This record gives sequence, structure tokens and C-alpha cells, in this order.
Amino acid sequence: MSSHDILEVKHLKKYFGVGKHDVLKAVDDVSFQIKEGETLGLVGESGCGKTTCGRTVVGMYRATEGEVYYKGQNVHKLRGKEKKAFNKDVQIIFQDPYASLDPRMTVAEIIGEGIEIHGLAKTKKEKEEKIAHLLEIVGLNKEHANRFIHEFSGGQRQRIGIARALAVEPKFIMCDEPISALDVSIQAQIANMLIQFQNEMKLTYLFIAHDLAMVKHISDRIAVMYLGSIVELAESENLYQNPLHPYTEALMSAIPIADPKIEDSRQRIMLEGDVPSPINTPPGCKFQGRCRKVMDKCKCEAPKLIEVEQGHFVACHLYHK
Amino acid sequence: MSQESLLKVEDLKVSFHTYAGEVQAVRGVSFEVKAGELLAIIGESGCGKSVTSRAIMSLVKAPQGEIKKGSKIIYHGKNLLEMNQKEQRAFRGGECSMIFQDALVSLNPTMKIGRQIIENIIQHRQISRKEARQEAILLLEAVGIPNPETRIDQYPFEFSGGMRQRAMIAIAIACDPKILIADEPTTALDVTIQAQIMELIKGLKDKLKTAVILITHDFGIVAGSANKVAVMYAGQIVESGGRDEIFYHPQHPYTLALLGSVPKLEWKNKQLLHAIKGTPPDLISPPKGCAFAKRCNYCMNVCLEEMPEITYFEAGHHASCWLHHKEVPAANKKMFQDDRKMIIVNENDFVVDEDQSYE
Repeated sequence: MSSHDILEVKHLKKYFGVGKHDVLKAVDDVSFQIKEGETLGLVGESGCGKTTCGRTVVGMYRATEGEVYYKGQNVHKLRGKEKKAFNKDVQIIFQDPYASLDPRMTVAEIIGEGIEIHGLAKTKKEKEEKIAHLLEIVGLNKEHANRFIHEFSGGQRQRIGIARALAVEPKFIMCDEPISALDVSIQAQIANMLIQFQNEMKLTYLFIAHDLAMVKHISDRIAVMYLGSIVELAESENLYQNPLHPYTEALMSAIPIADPKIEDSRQRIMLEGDVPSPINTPPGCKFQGRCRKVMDKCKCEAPKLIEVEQGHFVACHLYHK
Repeated sequence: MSQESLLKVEDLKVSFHTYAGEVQAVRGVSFEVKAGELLAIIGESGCGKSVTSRAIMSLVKAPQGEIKKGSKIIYHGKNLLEMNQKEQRAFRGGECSMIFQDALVSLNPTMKIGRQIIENIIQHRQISRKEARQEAILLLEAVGIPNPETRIDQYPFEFSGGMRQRAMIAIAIACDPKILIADEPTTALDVTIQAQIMELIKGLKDKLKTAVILITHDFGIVAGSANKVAVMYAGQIVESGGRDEIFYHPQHPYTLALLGSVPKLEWKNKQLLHAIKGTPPDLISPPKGCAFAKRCNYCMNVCLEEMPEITYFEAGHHASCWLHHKEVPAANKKMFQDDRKMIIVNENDFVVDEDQSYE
């Protein structure tokens, strides 16, 4: 772990038991680092384990195996005061702004809860000022403080969710598809806000999403997940210009681009079939069933994530020497 | 294209009566589609795009829903809204069918996939159940479902999301409809599956000369498939035209703003997007003037007072915006054009005589 890394994930595994004998390997041996002040995008299709990975990283789930280090401390071993400090530093913005805010609490209570728990305001007045300020920076006003969640639209709710996360002055935010439930014009508002806050408050993001154009726009580096494993990790520009893994290639070619000329001229790589079930996956590479460059080796041995260029990691036998 | 239009919608107005008041979901929408053409209706949620498609399928039901007098939906010279039940039923499913957004909700969970397809075939054609079953297997094969002989006897829950959507397309095309309405057919699907489904729909359009009305909020999908685009906002079509005109030469500030809020791959990382301020208006009491005025960067006094007229540009391209009125100062027009140059990077690829378009 270099001194710039704020978070390091080492061989993280998270399995869920399904029925009597089956195991669902939601996260299967994932390793990555996040530098301070950077945004790491985590993309993949639904069911690939990206949300589970994010949740295990911030300590919402206990890891089956492997460790997560936040500023050198093992996240899953923290207790007492240290755990509380970690919870203050690390916040989450959830996907569904309808389900992640308590309908029986006012906006002021939702935002103020964290401030109270971590003792960030000495007086009641200071707390109120803080809440008013937070509402203002997320584009709401202080009259909204005494209202309940049902009075707000989806975009406004997401703003409240962001204000709640920012209330405890965090360093690291796990954004779990924060914009996918919103309308196009509102998505841009929220994305802009996230970019602005990162610059102003030196935040670090783990940005989970399936909208690849938006992820590319927001992230410095991107990790692509498939069935619980990272198949490729690179700087976002590099990943788009030069995708190495056959899955990333297909994924990139499937993103619709809002430009008719590009759409007309480009060649689509069509993936056949669906993502297979993550329960009891066969040995070897997980992508073998849908891969157009499949080799014999892929069926028996799982490829490891190796660095093929500076900062460009890929897990595919094509690139093993 | 001098071909006659297959379906023509004229001044469609749909309202819903709720406890809070009358919601004017669609406020005077007109468009037409020709055979073998894909019309994309794009807009944000609540703009009335789904209600428009439901009105065509006569799925707007009284007493809550009301299609206002004066609305016309003309198919083969006949107004659908004046047809009786029997004619409507023959039209729906036979001549025109629909693919819904959420395949799990739209398919009957207690019926086998095969029976749901056969049901549609038997309803509209004089063939035996046995023949219909053979047909259904062929249909499943056509939409790319592996092992159709076994799949036909399975229930929707045994299918994955992409396959359910395929099964629904199979039901929709069972009677070779002339018109296919796809209401956000890929929103619930992953990108790789989305690409498969869009290829399938495009294939139908080209092979069977089906007219497709695609309802979506994703400009990327529109760019890859549409011939014509209609942009809807607050129950009205604010701009409509050929695909390239809309993408490279938008004339309405809302269209431009939507294009600006989608990140482009060639843009610099973490550059701020051109977000639209505010939220769409409440359709219970829609604004007197232009519905977009409150969120528009180029708003003038007249926009708040009066509904804008439709301005026609080159072939079939029109927009409802005061900015194109001849008495508007050139400075306002220039501001819009400058912003357009900034947002649409390769605008120059698409050459239109600028002076002419403002005549």
C-alpha cells in the first residue's frame, strides 16, 4: 500500500449460502486500491456483484475472506471508538432515494442524525445552521428542513441523501448508482454536484454504476466486474480507447452513443446469451461461455489479474505470456 | 419519401381525472409514421410519451382517463377513436401491437409462454391450435430464444430478463402487425442485452417494413435506430424532425439541453455537464406560456405569456419556440446558436444554410 492510497482491498471474497448446498459467490477474490481524492468507477451488468463489493468494502457486510484496509486499518476488525471514527469518515449514497430515507423523519432529522451522533455541533443553533448550509449547497433551501420525504421528487430526495452523507464531513463516499434512478436532465445536475463537491472537499469516491458513459465522465480509473471478479482495471480514458478483455470490448461496443454518425459507422460486438447464474460457477474463466476468443486453457484455469501496461490490469489468458 | 403515412395522430389530448384535479398528460400531440420507419419519441418521465402510445392502443380507460374531443388517430383513413369495440380489438394485436417496458409484469405469470403467444395468433387468424403452436415455435426461434421446443412450455419466471423481453416481442409480432409500439423496451435490461434487443427491433423494421414507434429517454438508443425523432416535454411535442437534424441541428432549447446533459465520450473527464435547472412543470395546472420557459436559458417575456407557434425548417423539421419568431432580436438567436456550437462538437459536419432556416 503506497502512502497515497486511502483504501486497499486485498483478495476480498463475499459468499452467500443459497439453500442447503449451494454458494453464491457474489464477490470472488477482488483486489484494488483507491488513491486519496480519486474516483474509482466500478461497472458491470446487474448481478455481477458490484453493489455487494461496495457494501463489503465499507463494512456493511462481513467479508467471507480477505481484508479491506482504510488508512492502514482493517475495516472488518474495527471496534468501539475506531469504528465510530471510520463510520464518520466513510459514507454511502444509495441508489434508490425512495427506499433509503426514513419516511417518518423530517429532512432536518435525517441530516441532523449524523451530526448529533458524531458531536459535530456544540449547540442546537449550530446544528441548525449546519443543516441549512448543507441544504443550500445541495440546491435546496432551509424551508425544506421541516418537511417529510414524501413531499419531494426523486431528484430532490437524492439531494437530501447527498446532504446526509456530507453532514458528517466524510473523506470517502461509496456512491451506489446514485443517478440511475433519475431523469436525464436531473442526472446531469446530480453528477455535476458530485464532481463539484469532490473538488471542494477533497473527497474520494467509489462510484458504482452501469451507465458507462456517465462512469467514464466521473471516474479517474474504472474497474470492470463480471460475475464477481474484476476482469479489467485501467484509467478511464485508456479503458475506452484500448479495452483489452473481450468482455470489456463487447461492453464498450454495446453502449449506445448519442451521436448518429458514430452509431451508423461502428461495428457492434454482440454478446450471445445472458449472464450465467453466479451459483456454482464452473472452473476456469467465468466469461468462457460468452467469449468469442475462448481457448482450451480458459476452461480449466481461471486467469489472474495482471498488469500488462503501466496501470492497466486485465484478467485474461490472451495476455499471459 | 413521398410514401403515404400509415398512422397519423392529430391534436391528441388526454387527461386523467384524479383527486388533485385534472392532469393534462397529453396536450395536443400530432405526428405520423410511415411503413418501414422508426419514429422515436423521447422525453423525461411524466412528459406523456407512454400515455400517447397507450392512447393509440386504446388503453386509456374511462372514467379516470379521457381522450378529449377533437383528437384524431387515423389509420388507413379511419379514426380509431370512433371505432367500435370489435374493430378496435381487431386493430389491437392484429394491425398494431405493443412491447411494454417491464416484461415480468406484462406477461401472465400463471400461463406458459407458448399459450400466451398462441392466444394472440388464434384471436386474429383462422388456424388450428396445432398450427398455431408450430407458428409459436418458429416465432420464438425468430426472436433468438434457444431450444424453442422446450422453452414454449415454460413459464415466464423460468426466463431471464432479456429472454422475457424476446418472448414479448414474439407475442407482439405474432400477427405481422403493421405498427409496433415499443414503450421503453430496453430500460430494464443490461447494455449487452439492450444491444441484442435493439438489433432485433431494427431487423423487424427493415425486413417486415413494420412502422415502429419507439418510446425512450435514452438519446444513445435513438441515435442508433431512429429515422425520425419527436421530443416531448410536458405533454407536447416541442421539436420533431429527421434524426440527424435533431442531433446536429436542434432548434429547441430543450432538445439542446437534453443533448448537453448526456456525457459525451470525447468530453474531458469531470468537466461539468450542461445540466437543466429546475424540474418539469405540474400538469394539473400547466403554465400559460411555453412549458419549458421556467427552465430555459433563453427565456423571454413572451415565453411566459403565450404558447409558442410552430416554426418549420427544412424537410419535416419543426420546433415550437419563440426564439425563431422573426421579431426576436438577433442577439437572442445568436446566444442559442453559440451554445449549440459549444455543445454539439461536430455540428459542422451537418451543413444547413443557417440564414434560410430562420426565414
